[in-house]
Amino acid sequence: MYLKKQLLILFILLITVTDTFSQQSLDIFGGFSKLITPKFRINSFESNTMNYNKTIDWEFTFSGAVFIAPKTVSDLMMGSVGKSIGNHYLYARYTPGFRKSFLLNTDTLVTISDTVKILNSKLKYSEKFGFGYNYQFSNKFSGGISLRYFEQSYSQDNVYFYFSDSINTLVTITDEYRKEHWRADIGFSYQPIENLLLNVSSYNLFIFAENGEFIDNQNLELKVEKGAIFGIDFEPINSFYLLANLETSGSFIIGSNIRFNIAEGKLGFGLSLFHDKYQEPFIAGFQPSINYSNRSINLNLTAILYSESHEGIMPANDLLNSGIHNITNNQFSYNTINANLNLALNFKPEKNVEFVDVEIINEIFPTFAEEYISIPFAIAKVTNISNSSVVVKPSSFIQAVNDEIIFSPSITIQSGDTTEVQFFTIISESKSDYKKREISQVDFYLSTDYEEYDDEQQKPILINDQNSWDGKVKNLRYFVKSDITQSNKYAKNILSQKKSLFKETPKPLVNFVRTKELFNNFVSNMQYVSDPRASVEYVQFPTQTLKLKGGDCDDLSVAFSSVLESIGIQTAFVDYISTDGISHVNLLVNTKLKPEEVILITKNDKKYMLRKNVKREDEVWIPIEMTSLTNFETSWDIAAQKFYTVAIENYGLSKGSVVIYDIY
Amino acid sequence: MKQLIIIIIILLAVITHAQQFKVDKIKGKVLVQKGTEEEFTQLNKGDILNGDDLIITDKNSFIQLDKDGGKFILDENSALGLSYLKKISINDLLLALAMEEIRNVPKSKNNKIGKNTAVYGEETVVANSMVVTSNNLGERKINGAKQLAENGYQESAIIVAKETYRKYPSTGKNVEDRIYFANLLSSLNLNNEALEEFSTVSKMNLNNDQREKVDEEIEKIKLVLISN
Repeated sequence: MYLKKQLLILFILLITVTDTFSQQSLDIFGGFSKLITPKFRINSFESNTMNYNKTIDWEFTFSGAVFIAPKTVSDLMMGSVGKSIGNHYLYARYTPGFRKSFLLNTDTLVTISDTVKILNSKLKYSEKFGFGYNYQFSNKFSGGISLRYFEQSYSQDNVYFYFSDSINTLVTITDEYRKEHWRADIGFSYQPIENLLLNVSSYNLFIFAENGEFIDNQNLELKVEKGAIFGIDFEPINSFYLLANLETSGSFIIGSNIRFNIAEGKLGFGLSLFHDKYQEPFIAGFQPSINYSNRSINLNLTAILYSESHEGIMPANDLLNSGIHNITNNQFSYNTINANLNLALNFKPEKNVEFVDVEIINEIFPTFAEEYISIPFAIAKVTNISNSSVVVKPSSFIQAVNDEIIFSPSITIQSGDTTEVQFFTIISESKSDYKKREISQVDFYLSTDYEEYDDEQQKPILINDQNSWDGKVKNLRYFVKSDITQSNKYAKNILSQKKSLFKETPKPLVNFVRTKELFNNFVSNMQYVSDPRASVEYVQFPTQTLKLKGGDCDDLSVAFSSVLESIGIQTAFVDYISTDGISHVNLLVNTKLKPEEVILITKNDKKYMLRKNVKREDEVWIPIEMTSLTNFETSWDIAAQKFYTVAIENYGLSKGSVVIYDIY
Repeated sequence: MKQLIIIIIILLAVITHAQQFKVDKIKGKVLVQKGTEEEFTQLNKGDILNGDDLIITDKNSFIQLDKDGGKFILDENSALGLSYLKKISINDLLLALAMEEIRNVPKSKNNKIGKNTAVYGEETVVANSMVVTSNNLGERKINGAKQLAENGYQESAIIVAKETYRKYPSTGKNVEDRIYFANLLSSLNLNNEALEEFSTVSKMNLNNDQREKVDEEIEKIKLVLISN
């Protein structure tokens, strides 16, 4: 449902903006999603005007290109440096390869002093260098600016006629016109959820410090029409990315990437296609790419392949009429293969926190699913090795019981401190039926600011089967809760046979009479049997006990508690803790009688106890011994005698030798 | 068989723990309710009683019990569970008082069971005559508790009184009795507990004398608490 919603958002955005957007956003790095590895900047001003990144410290980039032109040439395209300082990021790039030259041959021959000269015009465009800045306002929102410096020149051979009294001559002179300008753009990115990044940026927003012009040939100057780029990066499934950059001129680029874990790093493949308003055909070209990155380096190999060949001699009018809008990607650009190397030089620690140790404190009993939401199954000692306080997000994945990584509550650890971090989990119902005990592996993770985990550890853990019990009476309630529907059927079946009896029963006595009738029926069909396992505690689910018609003390208590709870009669377990560690369990049942009404069921005030309900009103609870499979009165007497003596008279409840565990 | 053994062990554990009393003297109608039995039977001189028995004296009746040479007389119109006829420590008294809270049902956040349960009983109102006070057992127990206090078993007396107030709510409305047992707490220097009890009493419907007495006691205890 969640994925569908995200895809719908993506689809609507694509439809909305397709018609409204020049291909300014094609860069030489392959159109990789910014989500892929924000630690490396595998995109540049062209598609990342706002300088979105999560570089840890320093990053250096070198790019070279091979142009598959009539004469294949190679060139150093770019060198850049980025530095992250807190929430600030600074970027500078030198772009000697960002240039485009044209030779306009007029086919005009001039013969001067027996020398034949061809008149030509030359056009040169280049982007020299640029600077970028980004500020991270929050984990989800950041904004930035880019500044770029351009130079362009136009030179034209002209014939000048010189004359004097004695001599007349023709001279060819090259006239040159130059123009320089700066361009500034802004952009913002917003990451509402981990796998979705939305961004918007301008192009040619501010053109300033303009100097010079192409006199009489202004139409050949680099076009600087203003516009905006709307971008979306999306990871619908793990390691598969979609991206789209749509420009207000109508141009767009869309692409996808996929990544695989390999050799301590990740290998990725991408394919983008782009439409340029100023190029034919509609899909002007493709951009296949391959990428490998690990903690320290990133390598890209990217091709820009145009749908129509741009090689050879072309009519000058094509240029004179439309000019160019983009130096690196225009209707005259050659197919290119770009190679890009990013080096991450990190002088900060690679991680903020690390495990000292992880201890599994509770093996997993699948039936106690609720237990592990509030009680940790493992505790780790974690040290903050950074120079500042960090918020640690612990998470874990137990292969046998989890569908996904489960995050435990975050904890703040001061610099240099070691503290205990608790791990909780959620038992998946769909993962397994938990019929057998097994050893599974737990992956423990610690994460802080970085995209990758700061530290990981793996430990084995015992996953018990669904009938296993840890011997703690308080956890018997999970067996009661697990099978309430069958118990309800059983109870209703018995009670429906006694309708006439209940019709005459005063309402205050309903709970008591139902308990009595259900108990008498329950025990009449039951046999006491010892625990089938010697070493590991085994508890039957109520359905099993009702089906097998027998069980031990725990099984019978659980089953009868489930029967009563299923029809709304509150129960509790009484745990008599003996010094040898072996517990005996009784059941407490809430008759809902008020103290004034107790005479309706007994004249002996040792046979019940009062417990205040949530409204602070006393209600009468009676104990029942489940191993006495005789009748209700006897079981009540036996349990009452023990409860009064041990729990009340000898202060067992206060001393902790008797503990009451409510089912809910 | 195993089931039988468990029951026997449970019973033995309870029985062997019990202390025994002998009926030394008796006059009039004195009944005993043994263990968890429902019925009361007449006592006679020489009968042996267990610690989990409850004795009840009628009007113009009394009973003298003997335990290892020690004598205890329960006067008319009184009731006493023999398990309370023992000296207990202040610590045990505090434990017993703490049990009051332990017994409460915790507030439930997600009890979703039972909301749709069919109720088979009719909306029958219990006739007043059905809700009897069980031979004024509560009042008799309070009388018995006072006699415990007078015989040096103040701690036991307080436990009995507190238990009786809950199990027989009408007894808790007797202001003079409440003041009596509140004073008992005070005499044992259980000032916080005494203050709580007097504060509860002060919210009841008191006459002028009672109001003056209770306010005076509250002030006195507050001074003691402040000076400590």
